[in-house]
Amino acid sequence: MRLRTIAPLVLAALAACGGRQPVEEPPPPPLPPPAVEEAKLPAEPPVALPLEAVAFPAFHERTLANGAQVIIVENHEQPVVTVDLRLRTGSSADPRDKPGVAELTTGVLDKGTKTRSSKQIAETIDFVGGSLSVGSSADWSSASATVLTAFLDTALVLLSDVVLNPAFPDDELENYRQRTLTALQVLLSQPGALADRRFFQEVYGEHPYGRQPTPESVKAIKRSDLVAFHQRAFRPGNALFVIAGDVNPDEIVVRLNQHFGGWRAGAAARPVMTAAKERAQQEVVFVHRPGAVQAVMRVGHVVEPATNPDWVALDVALQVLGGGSTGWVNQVLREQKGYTYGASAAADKRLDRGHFVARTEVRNEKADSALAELLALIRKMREEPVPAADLALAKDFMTGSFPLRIETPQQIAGQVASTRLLGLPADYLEKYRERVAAVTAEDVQRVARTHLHPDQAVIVVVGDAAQLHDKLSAVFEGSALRAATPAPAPAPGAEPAAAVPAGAAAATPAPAGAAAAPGAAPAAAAAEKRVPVKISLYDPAGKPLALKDVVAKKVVMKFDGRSIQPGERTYVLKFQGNPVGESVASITREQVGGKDLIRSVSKIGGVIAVEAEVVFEAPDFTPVSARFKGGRMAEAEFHYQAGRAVGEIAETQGEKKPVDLALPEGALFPGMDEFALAVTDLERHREFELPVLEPTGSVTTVAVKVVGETTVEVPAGKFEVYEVEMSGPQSMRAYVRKAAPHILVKQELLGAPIVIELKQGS
Amino acid sequence: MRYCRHGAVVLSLLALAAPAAAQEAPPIAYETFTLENGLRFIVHEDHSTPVVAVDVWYDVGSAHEPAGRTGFAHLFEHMLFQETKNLKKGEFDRLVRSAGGTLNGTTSEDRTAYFETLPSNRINLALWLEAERMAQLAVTQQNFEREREVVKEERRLRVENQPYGESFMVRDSVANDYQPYNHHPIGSMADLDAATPDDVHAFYKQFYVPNNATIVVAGDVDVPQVKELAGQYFGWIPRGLERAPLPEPPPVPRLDGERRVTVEDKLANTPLFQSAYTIPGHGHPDTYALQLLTSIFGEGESSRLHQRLVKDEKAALGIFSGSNSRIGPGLFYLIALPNQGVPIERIEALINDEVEKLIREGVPERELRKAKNQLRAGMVMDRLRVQSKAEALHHYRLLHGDVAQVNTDLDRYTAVTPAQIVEAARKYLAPANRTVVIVLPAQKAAAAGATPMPAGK
Repeated sequence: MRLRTIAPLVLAALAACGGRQPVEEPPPPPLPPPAVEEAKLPAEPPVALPLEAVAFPAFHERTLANGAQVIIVENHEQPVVTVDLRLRTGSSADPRDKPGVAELTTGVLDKGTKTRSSKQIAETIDFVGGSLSVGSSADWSSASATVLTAFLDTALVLLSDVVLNPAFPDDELENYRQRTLTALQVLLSQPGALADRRFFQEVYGEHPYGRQPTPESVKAIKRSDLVAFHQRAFRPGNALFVIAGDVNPDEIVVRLNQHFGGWRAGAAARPVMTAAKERAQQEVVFVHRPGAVQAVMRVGHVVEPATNPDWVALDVALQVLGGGSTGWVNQVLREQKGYTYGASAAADKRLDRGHFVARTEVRNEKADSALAELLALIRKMREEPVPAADLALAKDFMTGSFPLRIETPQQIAGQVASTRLLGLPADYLEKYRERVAAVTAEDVQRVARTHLHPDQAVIVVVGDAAQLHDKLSAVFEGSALRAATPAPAPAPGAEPAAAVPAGAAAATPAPAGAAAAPGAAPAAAAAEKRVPVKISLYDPAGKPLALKDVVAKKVVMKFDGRSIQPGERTYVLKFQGNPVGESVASITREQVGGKDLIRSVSKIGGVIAVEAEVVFEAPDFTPVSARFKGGRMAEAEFHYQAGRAVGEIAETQGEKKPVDLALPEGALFPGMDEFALAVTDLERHREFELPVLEPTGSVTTVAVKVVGETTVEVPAGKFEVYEVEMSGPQSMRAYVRKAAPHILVKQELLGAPIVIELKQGS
Repeated sequence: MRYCRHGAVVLSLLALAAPAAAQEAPPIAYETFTLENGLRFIVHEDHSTPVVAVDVWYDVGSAHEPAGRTGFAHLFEHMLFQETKNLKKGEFDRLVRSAGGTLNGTTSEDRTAYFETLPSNRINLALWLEAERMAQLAVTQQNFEREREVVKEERRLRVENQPYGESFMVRDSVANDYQPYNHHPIGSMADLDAATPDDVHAFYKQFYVPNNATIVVAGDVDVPQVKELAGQYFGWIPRGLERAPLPEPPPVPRLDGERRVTVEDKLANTPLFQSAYTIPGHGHPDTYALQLLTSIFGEGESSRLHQRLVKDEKAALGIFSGSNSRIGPGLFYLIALPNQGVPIERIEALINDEVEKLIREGVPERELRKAKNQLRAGMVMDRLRVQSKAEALHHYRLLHGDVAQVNTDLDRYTAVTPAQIVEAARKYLAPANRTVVIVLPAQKAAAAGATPMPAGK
């Protein structure tokens, strides 16, 4: 918060920002339950009605004359059929120096054949209202079509033509290449996609699963690379047809034999899989995205291939840890703490080694707490047997949701195809529920210890490294994050009493049995255990950055306040256009202990009462102290001690919290920013950044930009002003008088109906 | 890609038409009944798989939010997953998931939806849970404040931290003159901050009453069974006040001149072009032609804009077309992501040229047939799951005012003529009815400003 910190305080008070009430008003009593006369609803949820045993639906497996395998799930409920051809070769077969070949091959495959142009193909499938799609993933490529049954032949004609006779026309390749290059640029601006991309690169390293297309590799790919990939991957011995919907199994086999009769037999060699990267320690990888308001996190590592016998128990473990809304990571990060909109943990099983990944997105100021909780929850899976209620919930969901997973023929066929492609046993699907039901807490802990490795995890954080630096300073200084054992999800199913008591104090958000104050965990734990961690930093395009380029590259602005004159100014505070109070600012110059000090005291009266004072050295803006009373902070006081801010914050209705944090060079105490603007030649310096200590006890970087010059009229008169945008967590616009003294004439909060205008003084 | 939480606001950004009936598909048979307290039920039996979808729509959305409380209907939706008289925090989700079910909720301008899909033997659980939260919500300050933080995080995830996120909000507010729709359901941070538990209580009392709700049950259930459970669990809930109607919308097309906005986006690497035209509410007869127009312009690689901008001119990475389906006026929009180095003016000229060409030269019969085929196939493919059938039934009840149209609506599409297509395009896709939103990547913080600061004056 900046510019005298008045406006933010007003906002906080009027709007109960951060959920705190204004000082003057007592908190409202909890709401009474809705007035309902003697509810007739049973107080207990009803017990399950009987359900007949549901078997995995029947499916057919056939082989075509050319050797291709076929799975058929027959279902006539809707007149729709999907023909999905999967090939056991994907982007992991890309040439080492040309990641992107599978992507370009499948992208151009349906853009022209020996007898059809791309436009004819598109026109034909669109005319029948169908879809034709071709694509690739790490292990597989696929070409599939979904049509109304009446147009099954149209789908087969097109599908066989693009698979057997693609022409890979040069102009289509160039067009697709150009679009891919633009798409890469778009991807690099999307935080989630960017985080996933970096995560794969880091987790797999030189393993083929880790290679990602780059502008350079996409530009280097030739038509001959596409032809070679097609000839290798698109062979019947490498193929599995997955047919779902309104078909007769015998008929579809006849038709597939007709349409794919000319397909030259042969199979593809599996790509050579180099060893995935093994790690002895945590690695934290920052992707610097300036201006980001959230830290997007991916935490994980490689896991065993899908055929490992531990997978059923590991599936259960991951369901407990991160499955859906009731998984631990979501329960703690979202439901208990409100740090995020969602958190999950899951595994991607692959032909070779797959990966485990926990994901979340949190606001910058909770990045440290959230990451520490995430790691601690993974560790908890290893260190403690899973509570019976949590284990039962996970297993009940995994077995009970079975009917939901066989609702459509496409779902059924997809599951059968996955088991065949991953090389799982023939009875895998039929036996899966039994096996899940047999998993014990001991099994879960054993597989967690064997397969989950939070202390050797890769942690990818996509966010504004300059802002996150302070929050994650322990990490930046080379220490792995360790947190106290976190709060587990409440288990009302087993013990209703263990759930959060209604109206529990905000200061103790964790339910019974949970460790307290997880926000304090990272700092405390880091102090205890300085586990070294490897740090790296990249820009979104993958260029390595040095920390100093990001955090310290800011020009350290130097200010000289010796020209500042003592005086008194009065401002009017307006909320939604209505005056709600006044602020009187008194500026004095003092000589104390041989120092030339400026003291600014602001008193706000009216709807709220806030008093703020800041003292700093006039010649170079070295802070001395700042204190507040009222507003969002009931009381806060900071003193400057050799590059650190030391003090205490007492939040409204909260306990006192000590503050001791390192300040970046040139950091200003709250309230000094207004003077920094006043002594800056805004004609020459149109854009710069200010590190500012917030009244809440953290440092943020405020981007200052002169966006225009204008005239404003305020109660004190009409002034020529610079219009200055200040963006940070709370953005605002300031109007600074062009003529000396360059005082603040007017200030608007962006996104809030609050305006402050000069009434008197200069 | 990732798991979707409660309260995914219905971001109608790129959404296409709502589902409708299918000619070749078996009709969706259903039965309706209304309890004495005004609660409406629509039941569709589908015994093919032992699953059931329970989908509750309250006829309240962001259009009904009080002044200064944008985003509140959605924040309220989150509160309905918190505590009730008989359920502690977290129990709602746990009960559904231990039953093998999935659940979520969404908020749009017109309605708020809450839905579960479960094995059909847990139909009783789903209805009990819905009755519990319809009648016995318990709000605590702590739950409210935490959920507010969750919603703000959702807004950051979807808007503040996404390239182009802000531009969709800008488009919707600049193009739209109908006050109830002048903000997106996600709301503003300041209004979210200003909301209080008292607001929750008032909103609950006003809108979460049986006579403002409709429940669709679709799946492996019997109508008598549903009737019995409905009476048992919901019959005792008292009827609430009828809510006041929304104001009459201004006429569309507005035809008062083109509006233009340029959004500087700090997070975008490449520009984005959007043009949006105001169109009438979904119940208007012109909707059929307008929906078909979205297909003609943008559905599939053979569509006009894809062929012209992506293939022939190699100017765009991709194009999108779509329109809102709302009770009140909506937008018909055309969007393009230019290829690197292609000036945004060229994109605009090409899109406008395609619109003018269609008005000037008309639509061949075969091309219109293609659009109708696409629409029909889309309807059929959307009926594979009980949840999407439940949504279709709701759609016809709320937006057409007649559930029966679920099985006849396709005929209205089939009847549209090429002349009607051109007429709708001429009427609505007029420059004077257009809003253009251009997103330009903001200049990256330049190292140029990095000259050391001299001492002040």
